[in-house]
Amino acid sequence: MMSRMAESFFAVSPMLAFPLVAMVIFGAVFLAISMRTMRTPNEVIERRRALPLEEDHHG
Amino acid sequence: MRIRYDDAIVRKFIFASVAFGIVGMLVGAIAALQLAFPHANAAPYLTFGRLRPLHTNAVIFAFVGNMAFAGIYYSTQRLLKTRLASDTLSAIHFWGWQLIIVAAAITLPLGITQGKEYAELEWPIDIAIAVIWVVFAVNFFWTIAKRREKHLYVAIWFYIATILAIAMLHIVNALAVPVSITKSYSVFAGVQDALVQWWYGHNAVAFFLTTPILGIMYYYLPKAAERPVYSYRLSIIHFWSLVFIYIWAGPHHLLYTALPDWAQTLGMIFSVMLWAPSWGGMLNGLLTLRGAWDKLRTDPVLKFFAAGVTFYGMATFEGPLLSIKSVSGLAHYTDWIVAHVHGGGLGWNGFMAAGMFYWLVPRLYGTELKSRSLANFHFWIGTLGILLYVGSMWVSGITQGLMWRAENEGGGLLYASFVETLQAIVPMYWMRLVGGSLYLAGFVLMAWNLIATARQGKPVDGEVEVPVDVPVDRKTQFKLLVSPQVWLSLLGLGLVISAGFVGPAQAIVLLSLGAFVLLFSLLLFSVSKSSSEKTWHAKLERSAAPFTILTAIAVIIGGVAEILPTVVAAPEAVRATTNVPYSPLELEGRDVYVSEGCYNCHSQMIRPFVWETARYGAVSTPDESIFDRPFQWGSKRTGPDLARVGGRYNDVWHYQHMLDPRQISAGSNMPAYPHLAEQVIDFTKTPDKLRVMRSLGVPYSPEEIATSTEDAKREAERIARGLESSLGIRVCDAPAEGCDLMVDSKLVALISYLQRLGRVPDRNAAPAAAAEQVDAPTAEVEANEAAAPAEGAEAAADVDEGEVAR
Repeated sequence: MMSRMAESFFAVSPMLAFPLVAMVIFGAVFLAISMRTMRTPNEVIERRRALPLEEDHHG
Repeated sequence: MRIRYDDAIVRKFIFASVAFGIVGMLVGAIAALQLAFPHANAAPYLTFGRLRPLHTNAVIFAFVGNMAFAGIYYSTQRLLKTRLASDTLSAIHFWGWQLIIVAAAITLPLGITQGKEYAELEWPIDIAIAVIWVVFAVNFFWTIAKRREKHLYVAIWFYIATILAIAMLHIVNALAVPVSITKSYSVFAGVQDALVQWWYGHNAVAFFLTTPILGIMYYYLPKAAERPVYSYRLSIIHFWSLVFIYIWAGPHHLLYTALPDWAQTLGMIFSVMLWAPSWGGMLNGLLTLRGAWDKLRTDPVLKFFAAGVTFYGMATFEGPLLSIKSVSGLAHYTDWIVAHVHGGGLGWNGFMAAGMFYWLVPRLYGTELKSRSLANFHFWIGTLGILLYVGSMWVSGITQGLMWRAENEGGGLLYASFVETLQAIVPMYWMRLVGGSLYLAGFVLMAWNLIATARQGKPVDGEVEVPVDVPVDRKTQFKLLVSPQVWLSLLGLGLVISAGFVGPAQAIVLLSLGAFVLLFSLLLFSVSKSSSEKTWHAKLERSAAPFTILTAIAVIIGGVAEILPTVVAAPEAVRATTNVPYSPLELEGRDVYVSEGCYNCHSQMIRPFVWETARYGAVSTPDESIFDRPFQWGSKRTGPDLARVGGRYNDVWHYQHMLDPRQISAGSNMPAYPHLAEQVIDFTKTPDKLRVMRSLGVPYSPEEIATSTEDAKREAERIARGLESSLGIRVCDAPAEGCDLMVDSKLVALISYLQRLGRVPDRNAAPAAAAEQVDAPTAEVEANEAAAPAEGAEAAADVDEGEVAR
């Protein structure tokens, strides 16, 4: 069943594999960055968040 | 150590942005008036086809460009705790950019254009843009190199992505071979040109109108709300997802066209995926206002920011929606797209700019805003303007889409005459003009308010105390670049891209292998040390060079994977084509078509729908535009599609229609072009054009090039004398009193080109063979083509009779 579906799908163009691989790549990137980001310690995140609020003086 | 920031350059960019914003919007309002009231096409240099590119270039590159530079230079200095690297480079950047804008404002009304949307400027200006962009990049990265804050805040990441992506997009899309100082031909043709152009066009939106403004949002919104961004973690995910996905989405501008099916699918899928990061960013912006919502009642800055981010959310919801093929089938070529663009342009870019200006100018002049109540009034008048503009264009677009496809009881077209569909939306065009004018009025009020604020204060530059210089750890940067994570990613990407150049079986193996390697490398990314700040990504965020290189890779992948396959296939397509190059006169006529900006209102791409084939003829094929430099598929149908207009009407019809469109087609809003009958073409320059075309692979023989001047003149003489005998007009070889038409006029050449569209001269193979070149026709295409002839012939006859009768 799956092989027939794949056969029919790729009969249009083998290039249709590109969108599929692209989705896999994106999903993997998304997952990796999400995992990486969620595991970053809170104190690191908090210091970075506050960067724009460090005030300068005009004049 | 005390540092004094360069805020003088920020002030300059702000006032340049405000001034050019008003000019650009005023030109837009005039163009809107011309669509509702065609007699407003008052002068040859100010027709809609020439003004519309001026409007888009002015608001994108002059208004938003200057605004973004102001926002970037102000925030970058403060986030990196250092003065801009070079005052000289800043000055070159500012004055160079303004000169480019002035050059655009002169050349576009003169009809000097490459004919590619948002990339109309000719090659000398393109080179100037590249040079000034490099100056900007050097100044920016040099500032990063001498920074005194180790960590690169997320706003800086968005600025880096902007600089890299725009450089890449501009250089690739502008590749052209010059014929003269004011004329060039694109190195890409037909399908490739379409793909490259919309890869550029869509990503100009992404990386010129979105990423710099997102960086600005991440800096100025927390400043104005006086609280940090809602989630820094979300901003990291937002950045990487956005830069990775955006670059792939360009083909959604070409759904149902002659673009290969796989590229369309790719564009659609990535566009839909864009929903997630865009809304992640939007929510991050809005939630930053948590606990500060009460300030919106009184603070105009927060009002503009909150509304701007909300419009960003609306536009980025609508964009993926419009990229779904079935929705695009209805909306493409209609005013719905205009509504979408202006929801983002006026709401997101315009309001974020206004919020930033109202926040910055009082600080840059050490004073309070002159009138908060006027700023609040600006907000409400602007919001009302956007609602009227976008609402009217939604109604107009959906009306157009439905009327174009409406069937009568017999299955033919219910509105066979295109003008009927135009007349139905004219009230919406007036409504759009009202909305746009209100928005413009708001900006004029803002300009007065900002100038009055500046006059009541005096210019002051920010200062900050910094403890020490931070040494750059070059060893760590190098280690990051050669880490297993990076080279495994590159290997995986190489495998995936190489799959585009081999057979189907090998492609599947390479793709699988590439995906596996990529997944493994990503696993390494995510499981590297996490217990301290010395993680891989934490190091990366503090190391500008590797960060920049990896961002560049993320934005390059999509372009390479999408464009390379069509570029590689191009020479074989030219060898196999049954099409023939344009005759010298047709080529000259095509240049007139491009110069007058006809593509702004007319498409040349018949999509595989029954209602399109019934109205315009058989579905367009890639082969038909194989010699088109630039391609002229268009993106909007204010007038009908012209892909098969050749032979549909006689020369007399075209002549009269160009002199006075409303005499031939009552209700038309096309500008009149009587001046084209007097303006002449210098045919002695035609061989140069053919020579450049030949260098690009167009099969002109040396003999054809040598005789092209005489051939063009002979053909022009035939057409002109035919008109003379049919209409009894006075045709002249040289300027003379009472002359109606010059033999070597632009009008004659244009008629020659229009008569060629959709037809291949008899001296070559039948055009039907070209249909076999269609890349992967869908079942829908085949069904439509099979169904089209009977209905199409009948409807076409109806249109002919109806329009000619008028």
